[in-house]
Amino acid sequence: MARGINLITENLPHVLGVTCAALGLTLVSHFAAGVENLLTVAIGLSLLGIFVVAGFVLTWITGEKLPPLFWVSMVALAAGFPGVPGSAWVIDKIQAISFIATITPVLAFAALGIRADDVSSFRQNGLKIAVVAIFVFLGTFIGSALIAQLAIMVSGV
Amino acid sequence: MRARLGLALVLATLAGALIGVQRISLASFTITLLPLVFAFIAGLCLNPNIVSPIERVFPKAISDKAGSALAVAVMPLIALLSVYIGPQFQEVAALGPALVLQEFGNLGTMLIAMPLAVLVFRMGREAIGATFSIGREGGLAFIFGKYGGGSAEATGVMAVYICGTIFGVIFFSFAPSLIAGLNLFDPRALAMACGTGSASMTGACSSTLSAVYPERAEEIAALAASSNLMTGLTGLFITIFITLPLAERYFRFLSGMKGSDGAGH
Repeated sequence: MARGINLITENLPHVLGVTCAALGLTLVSHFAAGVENLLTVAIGLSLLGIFVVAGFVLTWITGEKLPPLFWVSMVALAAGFPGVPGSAWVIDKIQAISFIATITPVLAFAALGIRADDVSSFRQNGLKIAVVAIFVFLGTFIGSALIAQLAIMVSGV
Repeated sequence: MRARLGLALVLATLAGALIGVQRISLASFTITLLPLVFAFIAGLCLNPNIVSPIERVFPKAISDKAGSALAVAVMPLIALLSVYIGPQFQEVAALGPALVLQEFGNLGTMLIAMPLAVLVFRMGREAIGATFSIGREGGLAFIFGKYGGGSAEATGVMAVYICGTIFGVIFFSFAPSLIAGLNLFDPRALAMACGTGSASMTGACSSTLSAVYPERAEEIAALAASSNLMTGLTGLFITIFITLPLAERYFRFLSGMKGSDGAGH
């Protein structure tokens, strides 16, 4: 693989370590944002941690045919699905968690994770490719939003 | 090393959370700036590859660690969004056709970005790699496998991948807020559009939308997570059978236009 790319397979110690760090930072971010019921938040975050680790384990035992993103989503979906034992309790705890406080540390990882290689390739490629990239991101977002909007209007839901 | 990275992460997170949600109104337009934007800016300021004097406190090695951790660090958020699919299942199922159809919206990427790349910036086959998809890990692996690591197509996808690494997530926290401000789209349509197949972009996009429409946050989470799952499952098939063949033809068409353009005038 080319420079700066990370398509490596994760391992359990790395997943456990990063998940714990991310959840700890998420708790800090709830605290700093003035969220009150921190104990419930902590229980909810621990549940998320279990779903994440379970998702990675499922990825590995199914031979990595589907990415961790899929399995983590499926585990969380199953745990909160109406009728699944304990799902009402899970939802109750999860509802204490703020989306915004949860994404905040992710952006800290993203900003600190920009490498020297990334910066130099970015400079080398110049402004043109940055403009193209903005159109790529905007295109996928607007394209999907337009079709979804039309489908909603046609089906009248 | 771990302690230094931890300190930098705590500082950036705290900066974001303490500054909090800010709303800037320009005429009838309101831009919502979320803590994640401030955490990102603080993170850039603490990144030794961007602000070199900080290297004395935070060595460059912390960036390698943070970069390889990102793919895992975003997973709790993905789990959080996905938990809401169950309670919102009727709503999600009712929007099933929209969810499936909007997957083809990813073709919009190529439709608007390739003419720019080919006609305005005069790119060669790099344009195919750069604009056929949102250019994250999946697209990268696919192009490397099909055209080879040294090909023009690979150079193109790499360039967009780097841009995505540097400003993709931050882009997906501004764009939904701005586009929601136009009041043209149903919040559910925007929520579905957030499911791009990239975990961190989907997370940033849907968190921002949930701040714009706080009363519909759970519905937005469920739709974005469903759409993201759908992209994960169908993305590769759409790429192989629709996007890439179309990209090749579109590229030839646009190159033809460029050619006659140059000869005629």
